[in-house]
Amino acid sequence: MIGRTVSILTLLIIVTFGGIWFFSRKPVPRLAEQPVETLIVGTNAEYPPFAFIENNQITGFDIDVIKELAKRIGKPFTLSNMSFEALIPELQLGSMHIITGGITPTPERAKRALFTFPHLENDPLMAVQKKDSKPISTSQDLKDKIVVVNQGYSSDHFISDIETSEVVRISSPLVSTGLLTLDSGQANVYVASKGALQPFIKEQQEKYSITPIEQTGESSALAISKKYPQLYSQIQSTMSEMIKDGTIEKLQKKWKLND
Amino acid sequence: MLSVKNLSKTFGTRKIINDVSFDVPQGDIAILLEPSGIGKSTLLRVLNNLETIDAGTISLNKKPLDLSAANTEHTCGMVFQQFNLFPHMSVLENITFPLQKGTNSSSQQAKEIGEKLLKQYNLLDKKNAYPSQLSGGQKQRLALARTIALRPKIICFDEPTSALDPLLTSHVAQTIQELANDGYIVLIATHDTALLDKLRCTIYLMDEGNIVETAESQNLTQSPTDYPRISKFVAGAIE
Amino acid sequence: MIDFQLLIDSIPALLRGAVVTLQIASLSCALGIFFGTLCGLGLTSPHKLVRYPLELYTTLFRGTPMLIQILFVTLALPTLGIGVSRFWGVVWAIAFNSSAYIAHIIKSGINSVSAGQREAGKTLGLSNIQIIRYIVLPQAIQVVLPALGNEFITLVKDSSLASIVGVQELTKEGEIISSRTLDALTVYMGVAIGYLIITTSLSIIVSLIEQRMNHHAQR
Repeated sequence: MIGRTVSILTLLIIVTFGGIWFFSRKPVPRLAEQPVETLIVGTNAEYPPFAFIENNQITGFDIDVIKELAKRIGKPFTLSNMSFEALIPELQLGSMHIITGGITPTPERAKRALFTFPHLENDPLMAVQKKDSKPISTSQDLKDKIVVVNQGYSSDHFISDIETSEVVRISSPLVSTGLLTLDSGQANVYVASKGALQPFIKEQQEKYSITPIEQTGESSALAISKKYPQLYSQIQSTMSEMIKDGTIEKLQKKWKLND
Repeated sequence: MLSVKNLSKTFGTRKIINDVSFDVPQGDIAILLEPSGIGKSTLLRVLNNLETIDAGTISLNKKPLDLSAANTEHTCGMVFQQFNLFPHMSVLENITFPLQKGTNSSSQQAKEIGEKLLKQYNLLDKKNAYPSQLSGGQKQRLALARTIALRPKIICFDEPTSALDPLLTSHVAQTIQELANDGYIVLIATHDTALLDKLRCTIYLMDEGNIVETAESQNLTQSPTDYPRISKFVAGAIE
Repeated sequence: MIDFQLLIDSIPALLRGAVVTLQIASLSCALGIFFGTLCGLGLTSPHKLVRYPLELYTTLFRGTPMLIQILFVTLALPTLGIGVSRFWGVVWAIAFNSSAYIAHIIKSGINSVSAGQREAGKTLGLSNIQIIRYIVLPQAIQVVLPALGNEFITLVKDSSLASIVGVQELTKEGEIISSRTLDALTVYMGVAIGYLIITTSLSIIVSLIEQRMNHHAQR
């Protein structure tokens, strides 16, 4: 009885995997790129100052970049707000053209999405600890610590590559959740980018010790769906302009990034 | 000797047992006959502390019987109509479990007593089987063995033949007669008249909670006209 | 669109996550059965003072979302000074939630054991506790075993909520890979297959156990 069910189960697993393997080998038919009338943009608007909600509107550094981009390309855009995990399949399937909001380009990610020239570079990572803790300045100092990061953001990529005692990845991009985890003692250190901490730094200066981690400088870029290579080229050349003519720098100053 | 005096029990507004009195000496069988109604069963349940009494006294050998202790002192035992065997325990365990928990028997002693009883009731070869695998007659014998293991003074049977094949009635009667011969006080609640001529017993006919007629079984066979109501009841059953 | 190589590469991480998923489900189920049985017994008590608080407890835990219970235990409690690790916070939250459902399952099981069993126990001189422990409960559990088995399988799926607070079980491992690679289709299919394998295997094991136990159950 057990033997029979185990063999049926094994057979099903083999057939499932075999089927997936078989269908994944077939070359994806190169459909002609759909023309883009309106830019469909997605973001996780819980990440100030990159994308957040104020006065019932989605606003932020990345949003300003999108606004300027759309204006220059001459297309209207729609903005949707959802969790980062939900944005990923939308981009993969092409139901969204662009996703934005403090997204870090990496070689691994570049296999599945097209990244623009970063509109923010060298955003250092900061180590946030309870007041009066021994300051952390290098990745070595994190070796024996329990580190909490916001999943998917630059701090997550950084922490995945170094040695730590334990990593806590919270699903929410909220800095407040990271700080709560720190307060409750479930982590020793909260690592987040300077840009993300910026809106909170003044209030938190009394409660926490915040130090930059050496040799960390992450970037933010837009991720374009691989189904729209032509749109991508258009966006890239426009982005290049915006960087050269100082528009990006102006926006960075506006949002107090990279100072 | 078991003495029941002025026993009464009311359920709601109905008097189920109404001022009932009778005696059952050791070695005697008392049959409570009732065409319909729950008076007879309730009386047995009262003896086994499954129901309380509203009035009356019950004594054993001239001393009042403490009904609330009847269970733990193993004064009384009950063989239920549905047998109520423990389905998750083996045949042997059904006997040894109450023995071990209810008395100070060790597991070895309980096993010996259990196997002896199973042998007596022809169930030894089934000792590791489960109640669901037994026939009706075997289930009843197991229920009886389980009760006897605790050596009660009084044994009650609630409708012993109603769940069984009528062909088994003689065997059941024989088993019950042997109990009486061994010195137990036996009470039977039934509406099955086929038992009456197979046992040496005292018959109490109940109606509306009262005992309306009493007869010794041998007298009933010899002069049925002296016992019109019981005879009528028997005759009605035969038709 | 499905990246088979990524699926294969993800297997070690997903396996690690699956182990944690099973740990969470087993621990919460065991605790849930323990507290649920006690609570279920209490629900059948004739004393109002015992029944009413327990009814309140089960209403509370069945009437609020498990997600909220998990967030409360893991985030709010520590700020009140009660420290608990995320893993154990999730396990306890799910255990209490499960115990509320199991209490009602056990209660119905107990009520299904015929009164005759209790009466037989009583006339044989067994105490109330002995009757409950040796006669009623074993039969009640036998009756509700399928429901308990289903509860365990449900907990396997509910354990995915632990991902919200960062516990690295199966769903979370999938999220991590998805976030790192910007792939959702392949990874979540792998996660779904993982859950399917676990729940199917468990269903088979549960029905095998049921069959073995039904051996003796017929009245």
